[in-house]
Amino acid sequence: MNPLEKALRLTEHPALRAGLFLASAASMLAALYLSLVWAPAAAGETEAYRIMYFHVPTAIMAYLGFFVVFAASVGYLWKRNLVFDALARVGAELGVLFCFLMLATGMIWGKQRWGAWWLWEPRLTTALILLVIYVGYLMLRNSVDNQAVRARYAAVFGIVGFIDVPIVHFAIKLWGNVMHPVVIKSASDAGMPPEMMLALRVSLLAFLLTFASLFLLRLRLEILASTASSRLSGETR
Amino acid sequence: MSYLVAAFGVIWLAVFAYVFAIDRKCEKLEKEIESAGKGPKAD
Repeated sequence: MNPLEKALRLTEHPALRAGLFLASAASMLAALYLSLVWAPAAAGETEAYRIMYFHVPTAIMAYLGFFVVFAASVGYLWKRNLVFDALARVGAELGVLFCFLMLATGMIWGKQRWGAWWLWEPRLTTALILLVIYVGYLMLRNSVDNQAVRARYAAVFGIVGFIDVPIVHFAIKLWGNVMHPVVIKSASDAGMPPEMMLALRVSLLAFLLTFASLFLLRLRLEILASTASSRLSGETR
Repeated sequence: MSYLVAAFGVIWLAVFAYVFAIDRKCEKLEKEIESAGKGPKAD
């Protein structure tokens, strides 16, 4: 058994995966009810404002995915353990998925709100750059055959690429723009009624559980691929 | 309302497509490992 298999045996428990999947499905149903039915209408907004309950959590999950890449990349450069490399790859893939969803839902909301699918304003532009950076990261990973070299290059890319995450988050503060709404102004000032805040929090929890569920599933694929390649190399030896 | 439906549709289509693709790949690899002679331990 290789080190990857040893360290990540957790993903081999079907009960854990099933439990996490059920918890994410149940919380997602609750989030759908709270955000689509229970949360009050927003003053001066159409019903499309409810996209916010899913757009904001997808953005936070994208940040989380890229943070996993950053932390695992630091871990790899420090320990030179390929487990960190596998974690970084999984984090990048999920980060790209949620970043795409953040942009897609944002564009749909923007079309309704601004009458245009896309505006070259700071938040959108930096978010698009973020997506391009991590698509590039995944392309780099696929273009290098040597495992150790690939892990080292990817770790450096993963650390440098993360610089764009705070830039996206603080884009409005940095450059100023009145077009993109600031949903949560600060920890003390939610900027919305408590009912809306509760619906948003439940939705955030649901997306967090979905992220965890997808993470375990994707990690399992990484382990199976590693097992298959070690068995095949054993056969050909 | 159509914008709301489109946004949810995009999210769920993408997530389900991703889960489906990963699940298929896992199944394929499990079969490869089993056919290599030493299947993964039953949980």
